[in-house]
Amino acid sequence: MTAPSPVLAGYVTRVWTELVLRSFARETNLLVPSSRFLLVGVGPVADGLANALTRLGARVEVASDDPVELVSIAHRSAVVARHIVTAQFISADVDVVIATGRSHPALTPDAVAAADRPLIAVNAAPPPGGDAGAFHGDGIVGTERNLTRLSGPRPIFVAPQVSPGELDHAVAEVRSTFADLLESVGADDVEAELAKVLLS
Amino acid sequence: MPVTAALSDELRLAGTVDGLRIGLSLVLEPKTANLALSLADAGAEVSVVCDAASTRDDVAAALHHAGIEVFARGDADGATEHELALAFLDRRHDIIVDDGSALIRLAHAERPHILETTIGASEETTSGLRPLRAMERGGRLRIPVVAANDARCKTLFDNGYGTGQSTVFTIADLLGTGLTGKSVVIAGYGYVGRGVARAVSALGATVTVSEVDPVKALEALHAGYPVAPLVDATARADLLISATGIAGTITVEHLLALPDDAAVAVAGGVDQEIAIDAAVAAGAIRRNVADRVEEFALPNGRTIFILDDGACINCTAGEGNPIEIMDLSFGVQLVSIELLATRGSALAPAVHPLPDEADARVANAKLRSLGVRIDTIEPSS
Repeated sequence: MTAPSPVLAGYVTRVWTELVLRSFARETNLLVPSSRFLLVGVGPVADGLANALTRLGARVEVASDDPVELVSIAHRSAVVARHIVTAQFISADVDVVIATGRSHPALTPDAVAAADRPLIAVNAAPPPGGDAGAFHGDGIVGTERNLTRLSGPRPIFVAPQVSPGELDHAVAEVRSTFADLLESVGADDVEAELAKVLLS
Repeated sequence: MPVTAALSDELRLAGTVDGLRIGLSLVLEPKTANLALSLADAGAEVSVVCDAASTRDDVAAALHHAGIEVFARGDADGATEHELALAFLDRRHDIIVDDGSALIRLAHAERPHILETTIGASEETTSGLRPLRAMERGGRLRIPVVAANDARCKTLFDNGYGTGQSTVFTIADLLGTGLTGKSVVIAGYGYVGRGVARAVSALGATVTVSEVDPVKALEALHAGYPVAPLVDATARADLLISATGIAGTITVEHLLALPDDAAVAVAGGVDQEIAIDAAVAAGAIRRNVADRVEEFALPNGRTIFILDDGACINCTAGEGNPIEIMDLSFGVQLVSIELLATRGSALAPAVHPLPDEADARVANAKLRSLGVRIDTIEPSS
């Protein structure tokens, strides 16, 4: 998802977070408002998700091993933030854990506190490098809908990751506009011109 | 579905619906199948009916296998749907649980004799209650109807949250683009409109609301949304969503005012909420361009897209409301059925609200399932 333009990159990141949430809803048919989401990691994707989830009515916490970025996102998005200092950082009351792939430990069953209720795991790490937010389990014990069930201290269901192709399709028009503008107005003015298009 | 499980268990233990014939008119998919199965487990003789567009044949087959009478086929044409609906009514249910009041109205129109033994019905939609209240005012309603739709545990969450999320996410999936930065106009700021506005805004689009009720328009302003007449607002819309549940909300004039490539869809809703037939009569030419997406070449030279033939998009193109919301709504249906089973014979032929204590039972069942405790007020001595 690297883009040569901050304006384009911001747009692509925002669409990516939207695709992650839509995919979660489509694959699980679960409700966002009132559900407890743990966003793992910081950065633009975490920002976008925290913003969208809180506006939808979800109960959101953010956890990361980067305390500096963590306090920043906590203040920007008015969400509860937790510095990850122990191996087990996904508490029993979390319904959905979304990993952004940046500034957090790997997600494994060891990170999950025991509970009876299911946990949904979503990988929101954007391409390229989408593996950074993957949940690594010891064994697959089944599937439900398109969700992969892993063994662990509570039932863990891993949602399928949004494909890079879906993102490419969703942002194709804006990427094309950027390319056209780069050719017509040049590198010095392309940022401002693309921003004007997005504002229009 | 903890609420459905808890409340249907209460019905089973009390024998409240034991032997009663209960007919369910619902979107036929896995979640609604749970309500039918729960009522059967509680001792009722259950039948289900559904139109073709909202019927999943695998679910219908599973229910039939479980001993429930099914009057629904995914391949049914209009005439067959009508025959199935009449056959459903001929089961002479004690209680009818309706969704849009089509079955209650059909019974009044074509099977009035069955109403002599019907205890009553419940109705779970705003658009379904509207004609029933008109029938009541005209002295034509012959059975008591519980306004399940108006229960707080239904309206606040199903209309206000479930439909908002499922509608907006389904629309974005069909369009295959992001809503980020898009201009979205929402016709109607009732519970559904509020939920749609919240979801659209959360995904990064800007919202403009159109309303005919000045109080609701004022409410939209206080939620931070600009308000404008629909024909003015549509001129700047990338996406127009009707959330009124009233036929003809989006007129040909509104469609003609839309810019090129705008999309139009319906949240919840009724037939012809978008005046598609009138647009075609006015010269619009339609063609399929993607799954459930039709392009309309309008007589003014512009091209727009209408999603899923203007149907209730979260039900027909999506998977319906999220399961937690359905659980709450089924809880409301179950306490409505309980009310009719225990006190229905004493109710007048009118539309009746669900008592507050029944609503509270549903909410308490949900809170208990979440492990959430609340304060209680002790009566003063």
